[in-house]
Amino acid sequence: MALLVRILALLWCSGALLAPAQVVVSGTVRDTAGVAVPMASVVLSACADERTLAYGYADVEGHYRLSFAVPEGCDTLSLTVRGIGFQAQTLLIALRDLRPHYDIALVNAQLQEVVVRARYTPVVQRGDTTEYRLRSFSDSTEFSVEDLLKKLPGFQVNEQGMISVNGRTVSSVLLEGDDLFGYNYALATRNLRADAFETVQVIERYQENPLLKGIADSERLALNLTLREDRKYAWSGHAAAGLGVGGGARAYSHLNLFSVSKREKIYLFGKADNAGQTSLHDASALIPYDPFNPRLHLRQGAPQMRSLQQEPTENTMGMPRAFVLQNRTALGCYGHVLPVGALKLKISAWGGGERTAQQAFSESRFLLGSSDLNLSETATTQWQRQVYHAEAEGNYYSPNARRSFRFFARADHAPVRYEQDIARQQAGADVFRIQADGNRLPLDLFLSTEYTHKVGKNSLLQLTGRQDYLRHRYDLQGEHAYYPLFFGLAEDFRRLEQQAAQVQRRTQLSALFMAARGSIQWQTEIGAYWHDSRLSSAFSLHNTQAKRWQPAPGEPYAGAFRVRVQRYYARAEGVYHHNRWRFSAQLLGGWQPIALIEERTTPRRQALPLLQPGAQASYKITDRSAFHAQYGFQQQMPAVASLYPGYRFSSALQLLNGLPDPSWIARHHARISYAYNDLVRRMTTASLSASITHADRELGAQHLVNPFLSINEPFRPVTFTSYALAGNAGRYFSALSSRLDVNILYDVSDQQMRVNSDALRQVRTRHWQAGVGYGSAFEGWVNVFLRVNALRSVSDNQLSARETAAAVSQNWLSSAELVFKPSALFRLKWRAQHVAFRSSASPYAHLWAVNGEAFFQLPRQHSELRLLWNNLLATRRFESAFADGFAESRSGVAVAPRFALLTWSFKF
Amino acid sequence: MSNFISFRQVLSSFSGVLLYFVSYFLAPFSALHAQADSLPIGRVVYHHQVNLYLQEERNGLAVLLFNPMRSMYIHTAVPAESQRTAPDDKFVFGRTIGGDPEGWPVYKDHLARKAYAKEHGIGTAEKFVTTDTLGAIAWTLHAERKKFGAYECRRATGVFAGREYEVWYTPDIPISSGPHKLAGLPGLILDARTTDNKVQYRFVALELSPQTPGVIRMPVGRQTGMTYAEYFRARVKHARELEKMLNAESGSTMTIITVPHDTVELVEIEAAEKK
Repeated sequence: MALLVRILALLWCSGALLAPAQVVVSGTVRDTAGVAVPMASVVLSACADERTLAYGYADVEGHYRLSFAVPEGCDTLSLTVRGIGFQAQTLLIALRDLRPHYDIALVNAQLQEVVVRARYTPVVQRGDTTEYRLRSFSDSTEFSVEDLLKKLPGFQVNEQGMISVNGRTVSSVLLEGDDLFGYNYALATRNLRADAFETVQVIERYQENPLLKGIADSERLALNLTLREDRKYAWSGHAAAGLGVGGGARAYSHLNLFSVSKREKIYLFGKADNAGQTSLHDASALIPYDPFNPRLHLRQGAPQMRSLQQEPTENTMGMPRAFVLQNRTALGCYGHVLPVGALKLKISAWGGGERTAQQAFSESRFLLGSSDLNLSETATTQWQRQVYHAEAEGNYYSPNARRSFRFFARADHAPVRYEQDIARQQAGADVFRIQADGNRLPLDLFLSTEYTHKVGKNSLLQLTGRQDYLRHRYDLQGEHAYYPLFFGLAEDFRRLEQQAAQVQRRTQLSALFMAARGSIQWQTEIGAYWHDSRLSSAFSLHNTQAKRWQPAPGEPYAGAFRVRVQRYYARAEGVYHHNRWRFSAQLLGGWQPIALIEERTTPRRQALPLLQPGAQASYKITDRSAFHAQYGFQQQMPAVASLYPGYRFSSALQLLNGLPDPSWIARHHARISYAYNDLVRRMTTASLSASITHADRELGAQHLVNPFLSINEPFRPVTFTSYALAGNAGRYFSALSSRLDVNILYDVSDQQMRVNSDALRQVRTRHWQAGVGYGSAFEGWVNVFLRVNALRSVSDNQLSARETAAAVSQNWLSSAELVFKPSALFRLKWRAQHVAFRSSASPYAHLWAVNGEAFFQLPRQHSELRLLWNNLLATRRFESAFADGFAESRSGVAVAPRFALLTWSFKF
Repeated sequence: MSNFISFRQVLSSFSGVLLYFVSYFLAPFSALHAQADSLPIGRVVYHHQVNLYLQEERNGLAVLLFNPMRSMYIHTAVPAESQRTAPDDKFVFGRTIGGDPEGWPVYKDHLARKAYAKEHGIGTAEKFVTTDTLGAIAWTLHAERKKFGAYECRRATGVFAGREYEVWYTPDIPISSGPHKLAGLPGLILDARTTDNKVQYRFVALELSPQTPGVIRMPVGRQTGMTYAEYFRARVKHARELEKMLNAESGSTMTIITVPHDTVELVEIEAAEKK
């Protein structure tokens, strides 16, 4: 027994020796006057690596007690005591001399004032909404909201003003939560002052009608601009006026006026100038057509609502408008949001007028097969445009949030008149002078209504109706020495006059049922659509004695044509969520009777079955990244007519080739994409997508090109296939105060066309594009941003079984922007653009263009002076190379004369 | 015999009278001494970011006022008064963003190891104050270091209210506090986030100065004595009872009151209660 006890004691001791020894150290912390220091921190660390073994705080009487395990391989401990308003004290204690009690006396020290600031991340995420603080991205030289949006990570803005965020197109831009502009949002982003706004919110899954939330997913992306608090007074805004010289007298004026209260909001803004700062194109509709989402929204009409006239358009070549256009423009916009009883009414209207002029030129090599054709053209074009637009939207929601009624009405009148003087010359031959005048008088009316009734907690019924009416009149006149030769007339019949009229009525009615249960959502819709279009066209030729020649009945290029389409359809769509997956599928089926009626032939009637499936899948890899895949199949009626101006003739497809083939264009789309978005933590975004489109029985282009004229007419059927790979990434480096963005694009399209013969020519066009931009971000005394884009286009033309000819172009576009801010009151901004371009193997040609701006702040007067120098280097022309289809071109525009403009703007 | 000295007995002696008058004049000074504990000697500004359903209304900047004895975490991004937003894609009538003139503060008494947090009232417009005990987080201290300005911070991880946090604290500022109810480290917490990033308190700025403006004090509201978990269960129970009452009145089952259960502090409730 005694032996057993000894053995047990031995085991116990060895166990005690093996187990880490727990030690307790205690003591008091007082100041030098002996007063206890409560809440002084006491930290016991081991060795040089300062492993914390134990820590605690002194109590109200200054007592502390630490219990810790003796560390292995360490013979020195440090006991550090800290207190606010005291010098920190550290005792080094050899382990072998460790005592159970240490009293510490802290020495008073003055509290040092310290300020440490981190870079405040200017992005906040709340659910589906990402909010950007605009001031964090501003260098204070931005004029419009668009100028500032271009600097936000993940944002891209194209030349037309369409905004995309992380590769996804923005469909609406709201002001304080209200959509006043629909698809014409460039009007707001290009004309509203950037410094009036506090934040921009990116709203994922934007749903116009909140009753649908939770029942139907939305893939729409919207931006919401919120005003700064000091802008929300009874009336506030900006006013600016300016004068300048250079190429004639220059004048400028601008006004932003807001009145925003909880109940009512009024926005009034406008610009007028002849210095290239204003454009009526800002009021153009940017319709982001999404083949994967055929569901229409309140403001959206069906696609293919378009003008027939292919009028010449201004070519800015990516330069500021002031560089490449002479203009006189005035544009005004009014928006009003007000409650009328239980109805919320939004009214907006805009109007304006513009005269612009531009000189453009091109030198082209056309690959015609037997021999190439080298042509040069210079064109001086003057445009006169007006735009008048009014719209109203009303929303009513019942008090129990079970019913809603919404309507939208729009009226547009946007007459355009242009005069074009063209000199066309084949190398080594005479110059042909062509004059073309065009006039378009359009009137568009649109009305849509929507009634929604929530029949259950997660189900609703929606009835919608759409009606639009379009009436366009076209007057085209041209003068060309070739006309008499073409029509076999005496040579003095050089003047052509054509009149055309287009009237279109469309009506759509639908009933939609939506429901959601757990992780499944589904919709079923039935509807009917009627479309009635008429096109009539007539032309005549005149000579200098006012004699008139008209084509005989049955001749091409004149007549009357009518299309009547009905569609009866049903659509079903289902969405299923499972963990990180989201699956959706949709099917549209129906019956579409078509009647084509032309005065000279027997009407053709046909009924086409309609079947359009689609599917999507998404996988959320992490909270910051996701993968998407989509497939859609569409059946579309081809556009049956186009009108071309002046010397290109006017034609309606059916009049040249008989009634069109009323069969579907069958189009397949497939796309996969990866998106990464970590704006809050790492200020990084990235996206990569690959897509393929294939269409059967598509419309192809039939070209007739000779030294005297060009005719471009559609024909079918052709096969079209395109592949695209696109990616972009952006990162803000807060430590370096800089930002980097890169983009790549590669796309290939295979199409068929006819060039000067009936033989089908296969053309493969490939585009490569890569760009990188790097520069400083956020506020700093100097901001620099450099961007380089490289573009290469190659079109391979299969001329015969053994012969291929390529049209090639390469462009390097670089821009540099430099902003100096030596003081809060003065800023200087330089913007330089360089282009290096060539076609085929020709040497690169280089061109430069430079702008400068100086800003002087006058804080006491709430004002700013801005001096703009346009075209500092007196550049005469700006060009780039272009290769598409069967032509290789160098095209360019004459640059506007150098001028200076001094503007004074006042904030109130 | 009672050891209690009556007021009459005190006044019956000169020293008692003297003591009375001296204490009368010293009392305000003792109040001043108490008031000094309410004055901050510094503040930390955080970017408060909560990525949880219906929990985003307090997102934005938040401030922690602190001194060695007390601290107070204030959500400066919330409005002073509750606000109705305009109808939007999520809410047909808009929704109410809960406003509070004090910024829904969380007040911590470091010595007493208590945290007092202001919350919405249950069945009343009056706001409630919950009481929790600090010191329940078993922090694991790590070796990594990171600089925040001139302050070297160290990394620690721990579980609080069902969520795992990674924090950076600086021993050079010996304050046992941090954002929300995080505390118990040998230094001030400058940055914190949950490992799933659903809750983030990102460092924005630190100021140390005796002139730091503000007052650290108990939140104004009904002192319920409930812990946050008890308060949350009471809130859920109230919502279910209100639901039953409303549905009984309307004769339907259409009314459902949502109390989000995926909150910053996770509380165990019955599965049937989760709506």
